[in-house]
Amino acid sequence: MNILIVDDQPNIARVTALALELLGCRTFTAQGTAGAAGVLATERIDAVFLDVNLRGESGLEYLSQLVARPHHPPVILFTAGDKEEFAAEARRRGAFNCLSKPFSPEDLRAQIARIEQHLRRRAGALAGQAAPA
Amino acid sequence: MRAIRIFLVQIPSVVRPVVLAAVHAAFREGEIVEKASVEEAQRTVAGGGELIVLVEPKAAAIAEAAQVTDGDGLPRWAVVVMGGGASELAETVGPEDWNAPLLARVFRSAALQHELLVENLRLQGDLRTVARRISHDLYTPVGCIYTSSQVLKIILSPDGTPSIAVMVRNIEDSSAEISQIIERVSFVLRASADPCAPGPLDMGGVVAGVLRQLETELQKAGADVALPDAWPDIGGVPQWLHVIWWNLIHNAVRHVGPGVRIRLAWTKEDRGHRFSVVDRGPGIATAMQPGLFRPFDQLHLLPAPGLGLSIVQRLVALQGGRCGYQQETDGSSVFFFTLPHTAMSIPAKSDLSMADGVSAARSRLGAGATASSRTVRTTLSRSVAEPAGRQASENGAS
Repeated sequence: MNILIVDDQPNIARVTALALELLGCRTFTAQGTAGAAGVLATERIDAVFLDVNLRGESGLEYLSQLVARPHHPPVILFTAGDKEEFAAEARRRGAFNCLSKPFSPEDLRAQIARIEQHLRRRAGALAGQAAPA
Repeated sequence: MRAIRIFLVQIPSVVRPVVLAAVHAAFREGEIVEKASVEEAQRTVAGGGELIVLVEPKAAAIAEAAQVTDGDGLPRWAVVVMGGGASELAETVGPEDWNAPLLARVFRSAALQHELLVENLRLQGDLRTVARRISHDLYTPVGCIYTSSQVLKIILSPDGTPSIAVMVRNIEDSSAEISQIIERVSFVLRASADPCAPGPLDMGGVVAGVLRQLETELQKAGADVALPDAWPDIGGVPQWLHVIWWNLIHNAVRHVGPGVRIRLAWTKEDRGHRFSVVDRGPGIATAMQPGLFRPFDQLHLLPAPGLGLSIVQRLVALQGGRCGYQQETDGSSVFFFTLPHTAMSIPAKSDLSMADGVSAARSRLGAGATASSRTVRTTLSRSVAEPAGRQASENGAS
């Protein structure tokens, strides 16, 4: 699975990438929305892990832009200690899920399992639509 | 008081002598500036303490004067209105009181009140900065250390030596502890800086949420928690009550130890409801009891064993209640808090924002606070009777 991590904190991006790679994922990192757009334009991304506070940019606003794209990848929003405050808004804007920092590899594993299930279901639905009547 | 500049706006000649006498009596080092309008006064460069005096102005002029802010977005000056009817935005003095000694007292008091208002808004800004910005800035790298330690554990697990595993565990535990302190402190600062208005509350739902959150700890301790059959209909702030119950139940589990039996109870009181966490633990030494619920703002004065009960004290006081400890004749420990029938008048978040909240803050600190209070309906449900207490240590809003 190809995962894009968008976080302005390089240390967080590095450790998240390493943890996801240990789970068998291929990772790409970006520190802001411009970098993220570049990765999305060139790679097939299955899921995005997006920080809610990007330096000078709003993760929530970028979430809205991401989910406005057709067949967008599921977006998991990272929040720091104030999950309740953002969870409702994030869901309203179309986030797949929220993940509170600090998170453990177990938390990431659980997210990946949910994403895989979601992607399988979506692929099944698309295949159903494409099948001849 | 700092040196002050006094703007006199359109002062009629007939009252000018008494106003000048009052200003001189009130402020030894006051600088008097006479202007034809609020707008003209506004054009002068803001600096230090300022007071503006309007005589029989139109309502619009009072509102205009009260809304003026300095370069930092703080209210620029104290506003005193002579005549023109009562106003929530300014100190008003009726014509019958236009004499130098009384006006001098009003000018001094308005200037002092203004200083307090500005200081209060600054401190609230500081609180918000620490609660939101600084806590986030700390939380992120500490969280990163925590996650890194977890990843390291996975990497090292196949062939890691025991001593390295211990070190990784230390990093993991310490960073988790720091994260928890940051989270708890920023929670209480956010609650204080941006109080939530109490609303109708499902206390049973709040307690169930806390017990779910503590499930692992309760199971590990073999704890038995007895609940009342029903909870009363009351008003409060659910997220604050979650933290209050969490701390009280968590403390009981931690301090009593394995096999702890905890009883959650409530009783109706004259002015509200009392909620308790009762345990059969060793109790608290008499000498320790007075300092148990030390207010959060006094934590720096004495070394305290932990933050939890001070956080409880603040969150209860913000809802107009009080909290305390009581030791029963049978040795049971009772940690309790009360919530009033009528929820306190708590300013809404928007009232406190620095840019927009100048008038609201003036109203609260100055003349004629008009915040409304909400009556919360209460019904008497079956409560779990509490044994009569002997000795109580209490703290909170009265």
